[in-house]
Formats: sequence, C-alpha cells, structure tokens
Amino acid sequence: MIRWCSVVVSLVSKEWQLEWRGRELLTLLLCNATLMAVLVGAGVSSAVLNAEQTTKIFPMLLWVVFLLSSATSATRFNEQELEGRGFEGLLLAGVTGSQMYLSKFVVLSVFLLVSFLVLVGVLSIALDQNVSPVFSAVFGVGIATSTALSALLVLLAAIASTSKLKGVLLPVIALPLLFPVFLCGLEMTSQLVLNGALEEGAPWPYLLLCANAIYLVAGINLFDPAIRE
Amino acid sequence: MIELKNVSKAFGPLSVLRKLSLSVQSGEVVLLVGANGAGKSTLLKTIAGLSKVDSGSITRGTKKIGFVSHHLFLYGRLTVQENLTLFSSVSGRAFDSSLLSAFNLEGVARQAVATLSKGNQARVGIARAFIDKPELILLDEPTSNLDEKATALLLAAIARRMTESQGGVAVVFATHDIHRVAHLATRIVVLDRGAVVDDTGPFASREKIDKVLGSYREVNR
Repeated sequence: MIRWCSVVVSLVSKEWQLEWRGRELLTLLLCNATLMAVLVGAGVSSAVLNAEQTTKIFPMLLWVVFLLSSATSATRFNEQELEGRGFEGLLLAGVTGSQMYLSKFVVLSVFLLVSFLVLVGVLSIALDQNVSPVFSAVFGVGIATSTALSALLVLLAAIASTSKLKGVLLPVIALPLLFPVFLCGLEMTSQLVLNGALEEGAPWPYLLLCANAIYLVAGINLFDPAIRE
Repeated sequence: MIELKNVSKAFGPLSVLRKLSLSVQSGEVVLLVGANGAGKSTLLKTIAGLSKVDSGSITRGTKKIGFVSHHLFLYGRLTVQENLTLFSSVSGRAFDSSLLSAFNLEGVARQAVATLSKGNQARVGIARAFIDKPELILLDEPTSNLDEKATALLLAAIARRMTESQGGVAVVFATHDIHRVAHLATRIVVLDRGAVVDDTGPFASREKIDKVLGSYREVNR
C-alpha cells in the first residue's frame, strides 16, 4: 500500500512539474474564469437591476461561469500525455490507471479550487457583492464542488482526448453530467449569500457528497480502459 | 515467456491481427518481419499490454517489459534526468546515473527532452526501456531514428541485459532494417496481413534463418 501511494505521490509531483514548466492549464482556467466574470459583470451592470436583484442572481452567475470555464479549460489537461505518449510509458512501467487517475484528480482539484476562489473574488468585485461574512462556508462549498468536478473531468478528458473534436466533445459531454454538482453548488451558495447560513436538513451537501463518491468510483475504475487502445 | 493464442484485433472494419498464435521462450531473439501494415506494431503493443485484444488470450510470464518504439513514451517538457527519475521511481527503483553514461546522455541530462535531436530523444527512450531491467524486450522499428553509434549502443544494451540475466530475457524485434540485426536473431517470424505465414521455430539454425529471410526478401523485392 505504501508503495502504491508513493507511485501516486511521484505522479502528482510529475503533474506539478509539467504545469510549472508550461503554466498552461492554470493560466487557461484563471484567464477563462476572469474574462467570463468581467463580461458577466459588465453585462449585469448595464442591465437595470437593483442591488437586491443582483444579490439574488450572483450565485447563479458564479456557478454558470465556474462550470463553463472549468469544462472548456480541462480539454488541455492531457496534452502533455498525448504529445509524448506518457500514459503508455507509465503503463509500461507498471503504473495502473487508478494511480494515474488519482494523481490527476488531486492536481485538477487544487487548480479548480484556485480558479473558484479567484472567480468569487472577481465576480464579487464586478457585481459589488460582499461575500466576506460567509467566505469560509463558500470556501467549503468550493472544495466539495472542485473535487466532484475534478473527479468527472479527469475521466471525461481522458475519454475525449482520443477524439479530434476533444475541444468540443469534453464540454458537450461534461456539462449535462455536471448538472447535479451545479445544482448543489448553486443552492448552497444561494442559501449562504441570501440567508447567511445553510438551511438545516437541506439535501444539497449530501447530494454533493454522493456525486463526489460516484464520480470518484467511476473514474478509478474506468480510467484504465479509457486510456488503452 | 509469452504465449498468444488465437489473438484477433481490428480497428473498425480493418482486421489487423487474425487468429494469431505465437509463443516466445526466454533466451530467444525473435525477428518479426513483414510489409507495412502486416500487424507488427499492433502485435508488439498487444504483447506489451498497451492494446486490448478483441478475442484470444495472452499469457505473459513477466511484468518487466521494456518497449522501445519510434514513440518515446516520455514527457517532452521534463528534462532527461527528470524523465528517467520519474520512470525509475514509479518502477520502484532509485535513479541510476549509470543509465546516462550507458547511453551517452550525460551532456544532455538537464535539457528538456523536447529540445533534443531525434537521435538523442531516441536514446532517452531506450534508456527508459532499460530502467527496470526488463525480462521481455520489445523493439518496434528501434533503429529508424538512430545513427550507427546509437544503434550499437542499443544492441550493446540488449547484449548486456541478456548476459546479466543469463538467458532469462526474451527479445522481439520488429524492423525493416533486417541487415543490422539479423545476426542477433535466433528465430524469424514472418507476418502478413495480421497472420504468421512463416516461422523458423525457436533457436533455429543459422542456415534455416538465412533461408527464411532469403525467401522473405525474394517475395518483397
């Protein structure tokens, strides 16, 4: 088990090294999220909406922008593997698909969380919203949704990576499957922003945990067949 | 070492391997020959476990497989040393700097693989294949990007590995560059449209090998 985990750690380190050299995925995530947030902010500012109405639509705009920017940016996640056929090199070295999947899941989760936090900041400035009273709770929602998004996007990016239309294919297949995560994130953020706390007994945190578990189990089991010819 | 029974593989409507059966023992050096599209690369990828078969079975006597191909199976943005360190660590080994000297890579160890010449990239690919002291060495057109010196290094590495293991290694070569490697072969297997059409059998005599190679060359002239 220690050996199995040490391989995952080596792969996580490899993912960081590749991202550090190319600064590709994180840059793309942050640029997409910031640009979309600024555009949305400009659009809402020009509309005739009062402060209360803007507060009501803030969570929805946050989640639409986060999901779209994440799903479109993740298409670049396997570029390095495809260029040098790194996946196959790792398979030859005895690395399992599950180990590759987990390492990518960890790294993408962190990148998505960073992107989410930047997006919350930019969008709250653009829409003149104060989220600081509920920031720690929103941060928690960000962690749970980033892991769910990452669990699904890593698997789907591997499936889409063999297609010539991967730039189109990934968002098209990812967005419908990410709907439960969108709904949970939206509902929880709305409750936090509008009421200052989550409603007691609300099903959304449990639904989000279930989505995390389902996507992770699917990814661990299906990543290996997805990357083999 | 490996046994394939009635292995078939198709890419869509194109049948690449057709009920192919082949058994390779330790100590054998098999030269796999055939025209383009005969199924040599697919057969090697199938043996390596990189490609799934549609039907039939494959039994591998080892998990230590070294695969050298015109594909590098490396990360272009990482340096030579980082690549070799990564593949050593995931194989459960510490990085052995003698790999760099064995393949004349000391001078480029800190350069990103993508910035190297094709010849040097191929050497890194070969070094990667030898990290885990493979017991089954698969070579898919390994000499296509190599100059004479690099080819000699590759053949020396194979010979060294065979000596170290005292005959416990099997080698399967797929190449068009027959004259460079024919002297090593202990067996010739001729593939045509995904099936074995001629086979000298294991540890064949030089006379039999030359005869099969001669008739193969005659047919493909």
